[in-house]
Amino acid sequence: MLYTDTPVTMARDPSSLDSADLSAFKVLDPATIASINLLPSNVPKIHKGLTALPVRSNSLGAFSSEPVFHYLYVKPHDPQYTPVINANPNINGRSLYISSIPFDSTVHHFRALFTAIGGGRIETVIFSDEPLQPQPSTADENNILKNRKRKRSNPAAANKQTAETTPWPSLWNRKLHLPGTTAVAVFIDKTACDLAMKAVADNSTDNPNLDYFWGDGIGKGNSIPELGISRYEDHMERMFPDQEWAQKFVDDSLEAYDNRLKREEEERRRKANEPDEDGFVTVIRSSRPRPILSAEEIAERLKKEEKKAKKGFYPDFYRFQQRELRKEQANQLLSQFEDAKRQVRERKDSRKHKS
Amino acid sequence: MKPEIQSSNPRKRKLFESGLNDAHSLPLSITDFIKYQKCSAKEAAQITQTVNNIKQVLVCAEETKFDSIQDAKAAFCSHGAHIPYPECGDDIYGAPVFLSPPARIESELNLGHHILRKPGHDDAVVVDLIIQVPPITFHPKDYLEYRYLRKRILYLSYLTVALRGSTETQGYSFSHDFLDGDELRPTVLVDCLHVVHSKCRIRLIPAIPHDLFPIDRLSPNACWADRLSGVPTPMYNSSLVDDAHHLGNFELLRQHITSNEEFKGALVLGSTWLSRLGFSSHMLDGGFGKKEWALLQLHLVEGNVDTHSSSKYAASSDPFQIFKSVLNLIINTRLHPQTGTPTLCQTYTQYNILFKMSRWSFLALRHHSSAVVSLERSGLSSLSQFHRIFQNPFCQIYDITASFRIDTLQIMEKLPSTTARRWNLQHSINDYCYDILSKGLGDRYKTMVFCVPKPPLRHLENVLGSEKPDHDPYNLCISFTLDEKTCMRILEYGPGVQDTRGSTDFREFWGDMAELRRFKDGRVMETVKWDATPSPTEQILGFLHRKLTSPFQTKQPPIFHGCDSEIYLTTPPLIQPPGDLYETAISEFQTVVNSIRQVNDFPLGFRKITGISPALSLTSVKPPLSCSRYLEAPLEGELDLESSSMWPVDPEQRRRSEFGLLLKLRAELEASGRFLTARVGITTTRNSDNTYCFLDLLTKSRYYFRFRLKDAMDITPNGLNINPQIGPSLDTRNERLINTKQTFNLQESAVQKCHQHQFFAPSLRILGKWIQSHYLGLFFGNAILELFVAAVFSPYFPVAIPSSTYCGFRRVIAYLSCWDWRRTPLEVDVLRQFTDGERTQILKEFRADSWTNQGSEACLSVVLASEDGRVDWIRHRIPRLVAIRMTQLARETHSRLSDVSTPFNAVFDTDMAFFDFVIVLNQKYELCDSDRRYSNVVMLPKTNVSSSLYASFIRELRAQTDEYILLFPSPDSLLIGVLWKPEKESGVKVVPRNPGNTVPNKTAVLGLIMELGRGLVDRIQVPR
Repeated sequence: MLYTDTPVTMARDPSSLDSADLSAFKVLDPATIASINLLPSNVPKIHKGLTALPVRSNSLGAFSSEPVFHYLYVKPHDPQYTPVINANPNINGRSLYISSIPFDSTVHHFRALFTAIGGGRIETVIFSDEPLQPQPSTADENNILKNRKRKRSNPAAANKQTAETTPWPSLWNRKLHLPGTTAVAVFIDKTACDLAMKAVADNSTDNPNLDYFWGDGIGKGNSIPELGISRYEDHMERMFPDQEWAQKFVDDSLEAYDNRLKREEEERRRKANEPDEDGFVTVIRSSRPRPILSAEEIAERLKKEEKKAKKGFYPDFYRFQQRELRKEQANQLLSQFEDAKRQVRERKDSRKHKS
Repeated sequence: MKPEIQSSNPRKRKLFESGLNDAHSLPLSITDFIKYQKCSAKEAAQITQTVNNIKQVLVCAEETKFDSIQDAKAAFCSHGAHIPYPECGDDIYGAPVFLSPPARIESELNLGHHILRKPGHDDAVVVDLIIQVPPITFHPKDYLEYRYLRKRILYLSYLTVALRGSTETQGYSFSHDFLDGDELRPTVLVDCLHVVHSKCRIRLIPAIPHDLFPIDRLSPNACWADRLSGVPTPMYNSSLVDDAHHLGNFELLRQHITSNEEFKGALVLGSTWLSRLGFSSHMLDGGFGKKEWALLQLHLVEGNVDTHSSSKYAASSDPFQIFKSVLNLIINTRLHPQTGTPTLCQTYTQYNILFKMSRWSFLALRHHSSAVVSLERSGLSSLSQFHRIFQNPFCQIYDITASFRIDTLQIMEKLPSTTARRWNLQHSINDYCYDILSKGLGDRYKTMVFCVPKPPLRHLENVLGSEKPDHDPYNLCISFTLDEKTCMRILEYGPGVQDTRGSTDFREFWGDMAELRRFKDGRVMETVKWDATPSPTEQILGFLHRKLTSPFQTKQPPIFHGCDSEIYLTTPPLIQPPGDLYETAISEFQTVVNSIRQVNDFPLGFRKITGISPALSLTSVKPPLSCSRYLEAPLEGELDLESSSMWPVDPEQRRRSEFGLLLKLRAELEASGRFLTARVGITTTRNSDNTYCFLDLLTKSRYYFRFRLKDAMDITPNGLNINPQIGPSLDTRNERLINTKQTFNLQESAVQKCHQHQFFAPSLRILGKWIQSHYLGLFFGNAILELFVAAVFSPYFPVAIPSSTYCGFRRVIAYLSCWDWRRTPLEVDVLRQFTDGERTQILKEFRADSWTNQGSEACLSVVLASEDGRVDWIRHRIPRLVAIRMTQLARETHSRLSDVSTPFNAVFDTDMAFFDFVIVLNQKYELCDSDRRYSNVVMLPKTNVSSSLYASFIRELRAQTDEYILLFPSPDSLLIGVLWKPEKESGVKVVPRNPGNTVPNKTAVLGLIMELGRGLVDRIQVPR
């Protein structure tokens, strides 16, 4: 059975669509798009050593049938200037540096692009905003070049993950690239790379027959999550992970962390009994229980606590109390001093009498 | 390159042309300030030249003799120099008239001694020319029956004819007006347009020798002008005395101005202060201007005052101290016990300096003077006092303004019989209205300021005819400054029952509203009880208006500006009337807090659970509603756990521990069965990828709360700061300030102190509404708005704390409109005032950090003074374009609200023309009505919360397009106004068009918007 709630009586604020005056605006139309559109004929082929590669986009198709272009800039990758070389020492000569990449770029997009324009086969794409995958140090570049079969690397094996370092669940189904992100497309070999660079030059802004749409030709097997409303709905779902899973995630993680700490502690203690290379033994805090207190110590502690309890009224809380306390102490010192003086005098006198 | 080059948007061009380089915004020394107020030497020289020309012409005027006044009038009329004037007094038209050149002409002292003040933007420089009429013109008995005035007018016409006939004064225009609004004394105005950059207006003021008439007989209660009626004519008498003292006072002032530089400085300070408060010598502007100020100052330094403090200041050699001594003199002056008029007579002459003042203006002036003098008592240094007084942007902002239609003829019948009705009627009506209003409002008000439309300047005529008194209806505008503590009282206390006379008066005044009421302590008193809404002051003013206009029927109801009813109940509603909606949400929050505290099996205790959502501190723009009524973002709270040594040191593991704690809490709360849903979620901070978790609770009353752990990332058990802030900055995470803990606490305590004022929260709500209406909500969170409002609730301003929402809002707007955030930080001295040393240090630090204000980013700096002597900085970084937009909007709003005819809700209209294009989002993701109707359905505000979806989209869109465009989302995120950023800022994603020239690929950006907002974005609109 359903119970009806109290009727909604409160007047709603008008939405901004109702209240805003958009009479001075019109829907984006082909004429406006044409006035701001950058056609390839207006874009130089080479800019600062990079070759422009226009790709068509259908994103403004709802407003105009005129093609809208996005311009990628490509040049052979010079590993000297990027840290990619450190992680991938074996991509020299077979990679292209691409800047101004679209925000939704994936490796599948680049594979489809270079396939469409007649470039070589891409092995992988390294994006500047993604963490670098460390390559096996034993990999031999020559071996890879000789053996064209794709090497199936095992990142899990290379980067061992424990429960403690299990990453938090991803809140997004797909990573989007921020402006300024660049990519390095690694081809399977140098020939493929050269072929790709040639294809880029052939399909640059001076080619009047540019008809490749960004994202065309991505195989059905490479399903890429959609953008737009479904992405944000999915995000909202991901914000609230399954509570049982979450509990397990936390338990495992913290257990592993505790275990690690314990192991480290044990290791530390073990090392405490063993002299190091120089013969020194590390001194650590003892974990032995303290000896039982003697009767005197217990009495002393009780006395202290009693004193503390007496002091509980904060006799030095106010300034005038502190002043009086200081005065009292000064008087006490003075009287002690006077006593001492008197005693000295008495002793001197007694000495005199004796003499 | 400036953005206006890129855009043809006229609004935007204006934005950049608006000068922010106002010298007012910089703290000036007293000497510099005085210097800044004066006209330039070049201007003064040109004006002096003009005045000398006029003097020359007047001295050389030809003597003229007429057989009768009638002949003289006819002659002047033929020259087009007739000044219409009501016929009055006895018939002396047959008397001969002899007119000769002035015996003496003196120009205003300010001109000769280089202390002429700069005029306002559209005002003219006004210079007075005092012209002594030769004694031969008058008969010794001419002070009777208005004869003096009639001859005075003839003499003015004579002077005008002389000026018109001369080639020296060719091109000047002539008109006439009443001298300071005194209808008894017309004056001729000479406008010289081509003299200086600004207009120059010269007033010809006739004066008579001191011994021409028996001045000592012209006391205020004497009857000389209209002896037949026998009614005293105080204004006539005073006007005559004033004319007789022009030259005497001039001489005395000249002596002091010549010998004392400080005296001159104090004159400039006084006239500046008065003009900022809206006072002038004009009778309808209060009747107290620079002339009266100068006479008071003269009175003071002549040693005529025995007040200790006044004498002390007078002896000082500082213009500011002399200025304050004059204020002390004003404070110590009282209304005349018998006549009830402001009276301060010069010792030797019995000349009442304040004769033009009304009761309202005198009391208002005293109030303002007290406010200034009280700054000294609050411990501010002299320089700080000076800055607070002369850089006070809150002048002429009142709590409530009422506009009445005054039917002069009707009101005239109600005036007391002793009031002069023929001359200066508006002055008398003002006094009458003041008496009624002050009696009705009692202790609810502090000041009342009357504003009457002034008649336009009249042209000199060439047709004979007397002027008829102007009795047309007019709008009387009265501005009130209320008492914060008493203005909302719903009970009006009258006299006790034993006071028979008082009770009769009370009943007579309040009529049927008066009730006899017995109180718990046994007192029996006459009372009037008002409803709680609309505000009692508004109801009282409505009642008093009826009283003023009764028994006549008035067609036009009074118009109030600043009433809560105007602010909350406009159509469409700007803000829902708060009512008890906030109270309900707060009590629901308390219930949730109690439930959390009752959880037994929880490893840590809760030190504090606080609500951080603006709705829980009554400051949200929309009142909090349950989910069943209005699907909105959750109300946020913060859990402050007791400290423990068991927290992991590793920050990542600590985050996971927090997640675990919240999961545990969720399990316990779910088991208690008090909530419809309880779930733990994770999200990331906006500016970093750090994950943090939160607990969502949906109560059975359908209130939706979100809790997170306080300072989860900042404090470690060992007291180490894990993520130390490099510098104080305003993070946008949850719109909260996360500076150092101390700064945060300081900000919180300052705001808490402001919350003691009942109009702080509503002012903040209105400011929030204003910010959101102009689509700036994304850039200004509640935390920074709190600081803006707190700045104007400082007790160290020479104005009262705002006593209405309207006033609070207007003051913030006034403050923002003159705040030059590029040069000075915003000072929030709610807890204590800044010392001079601190101010110097603050400016020094600000200048050292001025690089933060360069480029595309602006840094709004706020300094807070803590009670323990610390000064903390808060820096709020926003795009420079947004900061300039804020200032421009504040200026526009300030100027619009200064005009009382502007409806209040007009300032919330969004100017869409500002934007380069607009993104329109789909409006279909609302909770459907069928779901909303059932209260026992567990409703999870999950994917169907449109606002969250929109917020996620806008956040991502902002990250993707930050280099090219600025997004301005509407409050409900359905519209997003967009501005293209200046090209120099968008340096990355640009396409080279020609070598060395790059342009943004705008279509690619538009495509990105459509692609990212697929299903959310409905359309993009561009200007036609």
